[in-house]
Amino acid sequence: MRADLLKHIYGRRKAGMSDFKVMAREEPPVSVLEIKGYLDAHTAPELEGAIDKLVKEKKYKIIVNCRELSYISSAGLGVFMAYIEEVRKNDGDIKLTNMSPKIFNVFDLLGFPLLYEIFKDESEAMKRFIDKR
Amino acid sequence: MTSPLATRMKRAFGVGIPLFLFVIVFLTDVVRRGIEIDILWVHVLRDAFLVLAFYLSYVFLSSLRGAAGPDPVKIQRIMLLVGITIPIAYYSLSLYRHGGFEAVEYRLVARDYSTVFLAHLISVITGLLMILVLLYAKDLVFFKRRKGTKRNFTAFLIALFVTSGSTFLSSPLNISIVTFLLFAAAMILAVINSFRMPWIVYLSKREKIISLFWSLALLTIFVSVSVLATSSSFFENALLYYSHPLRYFVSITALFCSIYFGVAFISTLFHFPTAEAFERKRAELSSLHNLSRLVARVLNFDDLVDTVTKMTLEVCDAQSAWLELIRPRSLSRTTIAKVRPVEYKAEVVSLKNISQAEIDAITSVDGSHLRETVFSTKKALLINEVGGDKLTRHMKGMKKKIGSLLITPLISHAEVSGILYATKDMVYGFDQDDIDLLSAFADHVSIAIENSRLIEQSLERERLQQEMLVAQAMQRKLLPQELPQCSNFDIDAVSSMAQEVGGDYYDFAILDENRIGIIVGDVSGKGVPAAFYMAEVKGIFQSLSNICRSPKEFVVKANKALIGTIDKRSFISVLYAILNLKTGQLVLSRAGHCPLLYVTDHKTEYVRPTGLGLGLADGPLFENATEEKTINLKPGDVCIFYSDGITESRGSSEEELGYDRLKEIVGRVKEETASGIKEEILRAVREYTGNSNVEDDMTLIVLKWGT
Repeated sequence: MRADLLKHIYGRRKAGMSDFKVMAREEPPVSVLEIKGYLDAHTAPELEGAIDKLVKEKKYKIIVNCRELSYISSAGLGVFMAYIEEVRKNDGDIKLTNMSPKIFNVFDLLGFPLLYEIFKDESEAMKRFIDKR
Repeated sequence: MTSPLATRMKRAFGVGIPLFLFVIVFLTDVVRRGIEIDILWVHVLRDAFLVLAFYLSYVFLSSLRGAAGPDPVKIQRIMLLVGITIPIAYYSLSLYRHGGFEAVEYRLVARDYSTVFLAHLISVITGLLMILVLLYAKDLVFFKRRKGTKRNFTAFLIALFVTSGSTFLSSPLNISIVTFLLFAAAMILAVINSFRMPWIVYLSKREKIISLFWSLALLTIFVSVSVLATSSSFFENALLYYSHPLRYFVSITALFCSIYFGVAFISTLFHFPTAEAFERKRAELSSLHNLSRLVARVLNFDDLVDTVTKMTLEVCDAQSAWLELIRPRSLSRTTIAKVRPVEYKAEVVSLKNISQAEIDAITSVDGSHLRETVFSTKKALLINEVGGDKLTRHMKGMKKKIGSLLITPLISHAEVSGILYATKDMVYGFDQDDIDLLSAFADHVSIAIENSRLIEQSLERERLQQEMLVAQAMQRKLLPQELPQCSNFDIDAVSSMAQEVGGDYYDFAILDENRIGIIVGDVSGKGVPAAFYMAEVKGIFQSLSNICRSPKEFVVKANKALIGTIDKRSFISVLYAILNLKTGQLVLSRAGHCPLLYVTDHKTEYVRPTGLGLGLADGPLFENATEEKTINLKPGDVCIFYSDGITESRGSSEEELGYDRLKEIVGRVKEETASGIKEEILRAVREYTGNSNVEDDMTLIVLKWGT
């Protein structure tokens, strides 16, 4: 739907909240997605698109670097839930790294550390992918 | 002014006085016939009386005559009746035996009394009738009057009266130069006024034919009257004897009418070829007016499109017509500038005198270029010879005979929102006027269709809004309608949704005489989807809470119940505690929810058993992850159950309320009642959100043990 229609339906956005960016890079055999900004129902489709693209390209080893992630809502969490099964079925994984304490707390409250491997730094996740082989 | 008495008095004066004057003059003439009266003032008075009588008659007749209205054919008919009465009256009256006049010195003398009588009768009748004729002629001249009309006609009237007046008291047998010159001037003005007949153009074809005959008849009558008035006949002599001015009045008026209707006759003749075109133009204009009014009035979409095709047929005399609405195929595309058949959807919403199959033959894949031409030019497309044009080559095999095809786009917001098609059996059936008319019509139609759509959308939106309000009321009923009462504790609770419905939940369950279950839950997301899950959770809670001995058991069983139905992107967090009312022991499990805030006399802390949100995993992984914690409440202890809408509340600034601040607030007011603590927390939330919209659902339960 058109952006202006969406805005009308969901109400006026507060300042700075619509900023979200996904930057993808390849560190073979792993694909890294750096997410930056505010991840909620409005911006989740962008992250979804990025993961979807990797999955379509059969790139199942994914690291999501959350160093510059300032906020995540249930919609953002739902994106990971949507793809994790397929990714793991294909011998891959989504590993999460570099979370700020505040962001980690959000994941932790829900028990995500029990479902996903969360690392302090990207390099650790990378090592885990490579060691597994 | 228009009271019956006033009208009757006007009528009395208008008829009575002239009648009286005519009679006086008649008697004077009768006396004069016998006795020579050489007194000047008698003659002056007599003539003056006549002028007065005719003037009053003129005033009276003009006030009477209002009913004719601007109907030129009717006016001509009346003038014909009035005009033909003059020769009829004259000829029948003059059959009566009379001696006629003889010229004696400088005036006319009647040979016998019957001549006097006849002369009076003929003159009065002719005079009054010619006044009527002049009044009706004025109506014709003033039809659709312009700037110069009144000036020209008034000039003529002045000339007429001055010329007539110039003969006042003069000999009927002499004609002065002055009178002659004035007469010439009057005739020139008569000719000028005789070209004022715009009413001819506006007659329908039938009316023109009738008018032709009337004009000819009127020409004949007034020529006859003119001749009679100047041919030294008994008629002329009678007039001259009666009143010299009157005779001039009669002849000038008759001449004027002769010229006028002569010109009218020729004009009507010359207007015949253009009559049809003019009538068409008029019909088109009134059609367009009716169309736009009609189209603005019809609000129901089906009626509207039906009216549109019906009017298309009428307005350009087409054999068949149909209306197509164009929609972009996917909602994300709002323009169809770069057009390929797959990009848009064309739907025929109304058709007349043609079948869908025939339409498909014309505009389907083979014929989509017709539409595309219109998309790019945004103008009407006219095919004059369907059989011979390369654009309509694909229509060659069609059984339906189509000679010409006019395709008109409906433009809305600078895009083609629809297409109106019209066909005629004849080649070259549509002309520029049809294109112009249909284009103007199309503009109205696209507005009307948009209005109709907007109204339907608005009604639908209203309906949905109503549904949401109903849903809101129903969901409110799913939350506790009253708080549990107990002497051992003080409880207050509140919940608010960001939209009409939402995903937050709290509830109480009396498990047995000693134990009460307290649950707070939060479905991921907001709005209608979250509300559905919330209702499901309530159902699960109501049915399982009584069966499950411990919070962990409940949480594990609840997860099993939900994992089958919940969407893989969604999850539900709950905090469930069982409070023993006798012992004050609180056992709780936390399935992904915000930790319990526990305030006791020397510390304020978050109680956070490990756990996983409901719906994220099943089986042993979930069970192993779920922990239970126990708190033994002391009097004065406070427990806060809440949802993240409280801790994450923020306004326009980036600053959230946060867990630390919540701890600090509750620590500060722990001595208050449950309600007091609740209010303080809400106040802080309001302070943080400020004036901006609430972004998330919020729930809060305050439990104070032992009052």
